[in-house]
Amino acid sequence: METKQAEHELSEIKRIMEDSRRIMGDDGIGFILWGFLVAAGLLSSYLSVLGIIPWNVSSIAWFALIGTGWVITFILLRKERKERKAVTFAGKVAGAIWGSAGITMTIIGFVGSYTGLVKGMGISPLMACVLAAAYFISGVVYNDKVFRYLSFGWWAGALVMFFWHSPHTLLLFAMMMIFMQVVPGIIIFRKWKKESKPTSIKAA
Amino acid sequence: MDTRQAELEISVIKKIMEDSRSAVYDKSSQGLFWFTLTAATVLINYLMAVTGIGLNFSGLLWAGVSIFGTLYSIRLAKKESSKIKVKTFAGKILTAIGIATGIANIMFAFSSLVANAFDPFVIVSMNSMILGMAFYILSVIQQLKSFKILADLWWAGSVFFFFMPGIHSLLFMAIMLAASAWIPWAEERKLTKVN
Repeated sequence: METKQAEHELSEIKRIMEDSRRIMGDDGIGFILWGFLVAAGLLSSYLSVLGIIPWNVSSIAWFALIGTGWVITFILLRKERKERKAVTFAGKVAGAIWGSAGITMTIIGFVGSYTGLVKGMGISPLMACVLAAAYFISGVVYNDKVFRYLSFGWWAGALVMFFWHSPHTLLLFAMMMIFMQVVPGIIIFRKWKKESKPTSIKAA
Repeated sequence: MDTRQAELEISVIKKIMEDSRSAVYDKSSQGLFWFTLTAATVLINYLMAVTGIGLNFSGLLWAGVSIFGTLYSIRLAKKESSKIKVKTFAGKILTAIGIATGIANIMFAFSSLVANAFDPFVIVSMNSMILGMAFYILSVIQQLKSFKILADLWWAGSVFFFFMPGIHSLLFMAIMLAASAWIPWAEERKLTKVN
């Protein structure tokens, strides 16, 4: 590939990325939704560990929360496809990153704990590793520094939880979910809302 | 963004991906090198465990392979950077996926063996899980069928070994690592010849 051609293609990519960054605003809803759902599940497990609520309530809560999450995600995806009609490259890659991360974490959570190979306290750091990988790749795809920094936060949190074998890691992971998933989701969503305003005026 | 514009962008992206796909396979041998090296090492480790010969040297084997791999990888990277003046977008994403899965896999092994966070048999399942994720993302970016099949196989293997943990998971790992390196390479070669 010639330098000139590559430079032209990279500038084209840059333009597409800038344009498709607005798509991340839609993903912001996914971040907020999944962040809240997983944090709620973790809090229910934490309360069970403390003996405040029975374990079967926490197990049912997990099934209900994750099930609800997938159902809402599919509804949102269908709605988005109808509205947008064409799927952008950035949208496809984002779908691949977060879809595969979701599948991976669902398998870790349910299959890992069902088989007994992953103990309760081991699930959180494993999931944090998956989230770190997803954030790091997203950071490169969207050329977004915040995503890359968040990935280091998730990796650091995973390391702490791998060594600190305590039920309190459930609370720590829930807090990580709020501060490193929900809060960035809200920021992305607000940014998207701001950016989409002039477009709608222009379109009108 | 309307349908026409999106279609145009996709066609541009597709062209770039096709272009850079061959660039990645022709010029970047890092993936092929690491997958082949780890496949051979896992296979040797498996044979050591099954036959019981030299099992005490398994740690030494991995330490040696890690040092050799890193040194050779640096040499390859230097060679590549002097050849390739412009980094392709696909190459950048590929590097990011490699770094992310590499860190995750090292952390899984480290946390199990050093921090006793979980059963060592979970390492293979977890490695397979994260590699499934990596190949799935690659299948969307690089548009190679083999990546999607490999992603499904990694995930299926991971779930299987969650239910049937054992030493034979290492054999699965060795075969899958070798297949993950050479099947996409063969498919790419075939596509390049056709085009």
